[in-house]
Amino acid sequence: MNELGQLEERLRQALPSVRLTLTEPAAADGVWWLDIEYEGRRVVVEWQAGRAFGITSEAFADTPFGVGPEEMAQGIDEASDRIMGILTRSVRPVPLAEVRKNRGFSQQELARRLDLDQASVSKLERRHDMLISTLQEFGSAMEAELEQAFRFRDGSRHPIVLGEGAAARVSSAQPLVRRRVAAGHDDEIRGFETVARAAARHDPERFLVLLPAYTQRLVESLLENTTAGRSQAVAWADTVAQAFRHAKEAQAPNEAVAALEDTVSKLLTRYSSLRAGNLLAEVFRSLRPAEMRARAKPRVAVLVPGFSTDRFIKSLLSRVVLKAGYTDWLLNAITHDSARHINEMEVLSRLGSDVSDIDAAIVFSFPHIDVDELRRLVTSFGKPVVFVDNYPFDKGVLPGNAWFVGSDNAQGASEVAEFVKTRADILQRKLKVLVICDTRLQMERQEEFKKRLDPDAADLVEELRVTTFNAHDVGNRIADYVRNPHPVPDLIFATSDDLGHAAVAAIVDREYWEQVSIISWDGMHDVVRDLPHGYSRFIASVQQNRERLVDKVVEVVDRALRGDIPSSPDGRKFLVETKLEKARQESSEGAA
Amino acid sequence: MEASRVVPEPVVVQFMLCAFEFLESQGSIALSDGLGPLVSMVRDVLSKAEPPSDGPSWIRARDRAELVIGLLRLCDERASAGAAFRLVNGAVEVVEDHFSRLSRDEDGRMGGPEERFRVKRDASMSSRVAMYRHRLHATLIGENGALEIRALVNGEWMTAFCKPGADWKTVDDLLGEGANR
Repeated sequence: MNELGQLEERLRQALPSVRLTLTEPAAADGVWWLDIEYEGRRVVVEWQAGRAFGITSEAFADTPFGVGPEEMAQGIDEASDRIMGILTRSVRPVPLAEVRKNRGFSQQELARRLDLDQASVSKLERRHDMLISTLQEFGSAMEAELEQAFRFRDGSRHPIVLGEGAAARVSSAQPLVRRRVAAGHDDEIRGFETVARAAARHDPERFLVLLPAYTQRLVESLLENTTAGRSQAVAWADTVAQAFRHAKEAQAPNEAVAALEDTVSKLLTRYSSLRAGNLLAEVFRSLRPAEMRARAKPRVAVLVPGFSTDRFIKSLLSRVVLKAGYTDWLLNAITHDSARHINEMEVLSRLGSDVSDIDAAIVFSFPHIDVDELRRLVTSFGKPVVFVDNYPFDKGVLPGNAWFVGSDNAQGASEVAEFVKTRADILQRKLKVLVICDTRLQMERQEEFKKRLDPDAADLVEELRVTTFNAHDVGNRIADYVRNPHPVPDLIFATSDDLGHAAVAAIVDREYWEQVSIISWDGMHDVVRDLPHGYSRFIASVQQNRERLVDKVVEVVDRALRGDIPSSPDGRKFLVETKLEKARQESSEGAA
Repeated sequence: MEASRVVPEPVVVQFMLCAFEFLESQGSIALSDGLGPLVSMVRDVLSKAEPPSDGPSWIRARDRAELVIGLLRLCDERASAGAAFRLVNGAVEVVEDHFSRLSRDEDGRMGGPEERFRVKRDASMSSRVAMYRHRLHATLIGENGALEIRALVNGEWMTAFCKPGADWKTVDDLLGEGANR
């Protein structure tokens, strides 16, 4: 019979009417369970060979899900005592009126004893909150004393008294929990206080939250348990405190905090067998070195205009989070479900308000924004801002604290021009080219294309400029043109994926479709995949090299944070090469 | 509008992104589906969530459990016990990573089923269902990927969540078939 079986047996003998259900694990070294029910009170015990008993009282559980046992008990004696205590002594909390009735008092009787009228007693019983002294009087009237205690997460209960002389009154009172006061524990407490003070200096906001609960728990743990390892505990506490001081004062906080973690890790190993070592491990866990380390690292906000489904953005986010080591990054997005195109200003303005505690920002920008307002926001933010993908300032220069990483439009356009030339060579005739562009998007693409188009290889028969983001209107404009083009183009160059999609949609049922090649910018693969079989004329697009773009963004952010990056207007733009790719290969006709 | 008065918006957004990533990795949601269902679920749970009475977590364990179950609901049916096992553990992890503010070995952090919690089958149980016992709940996983979470409430086992396997049979179905054999 294992220890849990022995415990089961002991409970059965002590409480003959108790209901016990033992659950055996599948694996020999797995976890055993004992469900106990006695007079409506339920306790669950978990046990694994070589480990303490885990005890949970259903009455105290916040949720049936997850989390470990509420308290641990070493050995059968302690477990049995604790369980018996819960089953036989603990009483479910009940409203005041119920206690009064259970004790056989009427409201009139209590009102008389309290020198109140009955209505006041009734009102008192319904109150959600009241002075402790009032509650004490209520208890006194029923010839009861009010017990005040904290119950901690580990299940232990600590009685308290309020006001001066508390300690004396506690020590004279009958203790509700077993206490073993270690000689010289003051030294240990002082050691912990040193840690606490140091931690408070390093991360006051965090520590203020933790301080009350943890201090109480630590002191209680010391009083309850610690009889050995005192000097080690104090020495360790001092070392940790010293490390915190170094972390705070060091010029390079990242390194200092890493050194601190090292120190603690070594100490944890060295003292792991000591009770005091365990307590200190607990202290240190509560101080959360990882979180402090995260705070010491740059906090980088990634601002995206809504939850884009773009893999590029996801890739960048993953890279920023996982590889660049910005462990405390932010994604700050506006999440209106229907708003793909949102007011970027709204996002950016958050830099100065609720997202003020950051060191740099990566911003995916839309081109149709108020350039002056954007410049003002970026300048007032003052920290590095890296714009990605779309150059936000039209032809203007970037503010002094901003950088841009995007694709090399000129090089991409040059590749398209080169492709036109190659295709003209293959077909051995001069091509007729239609350019479709959006006047508010990437004019650089068609301008460069026109510049680099070999006049012997192609004629630009039309430049169809659309000025709206409304896909339907764009489609209609293009459809109007392709219905009766003069002349029918051999090749359409659409300078964005939206325009490329619209061009394909407009032209797909024209009889001259098979003669026309379409080159777009990004994202044509999906369109081609959806085309009916047979419509497989050459379709290609200039693809951004997203991996390299992402790498470059991370590199620029890093360098900007270190101050190791050009600040001259010319040096603040970083362009990544693009690549012309066929969306579907129809024959051996060559791509560029 | 903020999703929660107790959890900072960046934490919520960060969670949504990671949860989306998780669902996508499970093949349960396509990028083209958008984030609508996930966003609605998260915002709904967080709008009612409250901070715990103690500890560092942003929200109570019961709110975190509701997020886990919400994620499980958003997932497609699993086709095997292994896939269901990974699904539950992944969902618990992504929620706890963001909202518990507790490291993996710390008290108070919720955990998914583990092998050491697997209960020895008795005669009444089908060999097609594995049961993982926890403190006050149990996770049952069918060989067909069916999932059921039962909570111990007032001494009774209540079904808190149920999802069939890819063959649309539930844990109860499998247990019934086992009993008939």
